[in-house]
Amino acid sequence: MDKTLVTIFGTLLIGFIYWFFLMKRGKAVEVSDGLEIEVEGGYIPEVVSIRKGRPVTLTFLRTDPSSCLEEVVIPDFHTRRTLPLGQKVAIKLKPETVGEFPFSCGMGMYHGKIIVTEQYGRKY
Amino acid sequence: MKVPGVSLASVNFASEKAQVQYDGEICSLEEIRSAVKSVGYVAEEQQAGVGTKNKLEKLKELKILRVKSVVSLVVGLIIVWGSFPGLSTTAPSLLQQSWFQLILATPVQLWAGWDFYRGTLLSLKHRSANMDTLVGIGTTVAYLYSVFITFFPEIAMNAGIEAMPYFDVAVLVIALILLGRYFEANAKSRTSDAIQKLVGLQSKTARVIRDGTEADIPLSEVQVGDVIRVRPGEKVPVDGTIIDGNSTLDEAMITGESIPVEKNSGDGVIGATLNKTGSFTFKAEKVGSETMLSQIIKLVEEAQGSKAPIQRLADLISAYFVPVVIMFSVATFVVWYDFGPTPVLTFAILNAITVLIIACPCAMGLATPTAIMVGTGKGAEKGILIKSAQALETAHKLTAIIFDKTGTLTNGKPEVTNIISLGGLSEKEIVRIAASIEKGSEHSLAEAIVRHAGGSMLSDAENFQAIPGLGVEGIVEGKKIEFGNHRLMLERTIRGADHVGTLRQVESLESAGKTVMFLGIEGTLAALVAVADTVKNSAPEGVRKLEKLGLAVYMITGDNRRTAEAIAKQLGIKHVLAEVLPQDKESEVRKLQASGNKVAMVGDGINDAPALAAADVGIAMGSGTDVAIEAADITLINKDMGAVASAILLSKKTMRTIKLNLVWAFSYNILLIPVAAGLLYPFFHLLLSPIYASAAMALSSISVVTNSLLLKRVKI
Repeated sequence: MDKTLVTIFGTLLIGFIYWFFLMKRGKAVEVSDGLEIEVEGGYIPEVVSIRKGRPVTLTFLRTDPSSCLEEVVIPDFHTRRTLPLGQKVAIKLKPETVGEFPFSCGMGMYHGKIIVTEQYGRKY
Repeated sequence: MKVPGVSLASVNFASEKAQVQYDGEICSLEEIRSAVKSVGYVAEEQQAGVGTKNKLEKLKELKILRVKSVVSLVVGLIIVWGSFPGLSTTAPSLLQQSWFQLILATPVQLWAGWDFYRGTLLSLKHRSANMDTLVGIGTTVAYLYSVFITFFPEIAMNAGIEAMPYFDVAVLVIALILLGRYFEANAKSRTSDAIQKLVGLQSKTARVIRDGTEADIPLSEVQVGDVIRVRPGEKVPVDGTIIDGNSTLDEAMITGESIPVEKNSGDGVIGATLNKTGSFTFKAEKVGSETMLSQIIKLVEEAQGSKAPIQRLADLISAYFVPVVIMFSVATFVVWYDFGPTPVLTFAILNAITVLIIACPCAMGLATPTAIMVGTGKGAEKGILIKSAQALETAHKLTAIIFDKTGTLTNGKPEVTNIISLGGLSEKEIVRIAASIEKGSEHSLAEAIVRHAGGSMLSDAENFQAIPGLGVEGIVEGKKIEFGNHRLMLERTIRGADHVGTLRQVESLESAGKTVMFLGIEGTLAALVAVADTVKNSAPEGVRKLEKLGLAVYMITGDNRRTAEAIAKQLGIKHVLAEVLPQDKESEVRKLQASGNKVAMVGDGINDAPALAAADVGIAMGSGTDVAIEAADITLINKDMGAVASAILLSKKTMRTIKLNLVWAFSYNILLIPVAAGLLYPFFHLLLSPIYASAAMALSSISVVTNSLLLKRVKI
């Protein structure tokens, strides 16, 4: 009896973990000139949308002391920056290509995304 | 007013800054402050820069980490003494009590393990998980299980479970993982040493001469056009050109060239290089972010921010790894509970914890970037600037390398070697006429002839025309002049161009690696002018090194085949692409690519940009100009041919390190997670303790970073 319960509970738990971590959907926040991204247990917001050709400044502010988040890497823009705790770090970007460009922590465990669009308002 | 102990004081009213150099033993900062106050100003000490502040914070973080790990380790070992079967009998009876172990373990769990909790909670808020989540869940389960056993031993025993707490597991796992994190952070900070070293090369002040007075001013205040004095032993503060004096400069820190270079009036100097013997003044031409050093730092930083294609798989796995491990841990619990031996709950809990603890996503995440950081940094120290991780990765797959002859294999400064008169004109006259017609040409051979003419009175050419790939023509002093290669003579049907004796002379000159130009005056061949470029001393050895690395070395040139082959022979190059017009270099690169080769093109980066861009790896040599850096994947500041082989060798070594790291990280996780889950138990009765799992996990990421750091020792 208890084995059956453990099996059912375990299977449900695995399903919950899958749903909780792997099925989340981030909503894109549109950036016109600049945006502050809070770095705390991940990136807030996680998905930002930028118009092609428009120069923007993404300001990262790390409030999470975890060393996992001490660097941010935006590989397509050849950017790797250290984020000192409690200090704003501004990264200037001028995307020239439409598409999705991931960014992550130094070890690639926390993720975010920059979506470059032709125009505002496009839904993803 | 003079303050004893102050050796230098300079004030910049515009920036409201004063710089004071003083002997701390003779006067204090307070005395300086009151001296400044007495003249009506308030002095504030400038705080350390952001970089220093960050460094101090990092050191503080490391210190806390060290204290936490040492305390946890000591507490953990005390608990092991009181609880380990066989060993516990030697311990004081107090230590053997579960409630006493609980008192010891609780502060470690909540204080030293707090970072894991905070990381876990913050991540969960955003539905993500990381290393902290794994350790946080693992140690909490061990701790809570032990607390339960401590308070309700009867319930456990009634359920057939031995009333044995696992505080030692919770505490030692925290201790070992924190210790691992401490060593990892220490090692990781060394991967970016190269950038720190480059930044440290910067001079802090410059001795500027303004309105006839000399003053030391902070580097940030130096402007373009300032005249700066550099004395023996001082660093050149910014980039510029010497206007007075001469000296020997050590440029090794920028170019990687170990032999000091002599510099005279008119020569360029690079900021951050070291003035050895003489004293000179120079005009600042590039300051701030425009200097070569700043450009190098920017380039290295950008390369370190790029990703190598090989990292893609590791990235993909890292993104899903932690949730998958948590799911696998739950599955481990269920399988042990359903099918395991008694006591099932103990086995199920311990093995589920071991799975969480042994998983090491950090090793995968660190495998590629740490090696790229050390590799690109090592390159920059040797004057090899790699634009991106992708370029570094492609370079190790190269099979063929094409050198644009002029400026890479040769010194790029051709000299006139032979003048053969065929119609009675004097050598001087021949050179004067040839130089007069060539005056308007930009070809490097033309420069050699004009230079050779020296002070001779040159005439102006009328109707001047440059015919690409052939030569030039025009009218000098009323006479029709053709000056170029044999094909030009044939096309213009110049008399005597086919004379057997002449052709024999041409053949002999070309066989010696010289380029022969024909001078036709009024439709008759009047002279032959041979020009040769000197081969770089470092070239033959450089070619040999590349062949040793398994690359087919090609030389591409506009020279005719015989001359080209003669030069190639001097260099030991077997493949020659001769008589290639400048605009056709790109198609030669593509032809080689079409035959299945991964091709590198080496040029000076200025007039061969299309070929550099077409190649799989474009290498610009002997120039640190913006144009060259823009066009090339790899820029070699050094003119030494050996640097090409060094760049490719660096790529090969870096890629080998990355592959080794990835194999290690993948196989570690793929092999050890099932072992942690108890896969070997049915066959060998072998189980892994969570304590050993935490030690393995900590060693795993340390070994990846250490392996990357070993790249620093590689000889290139």
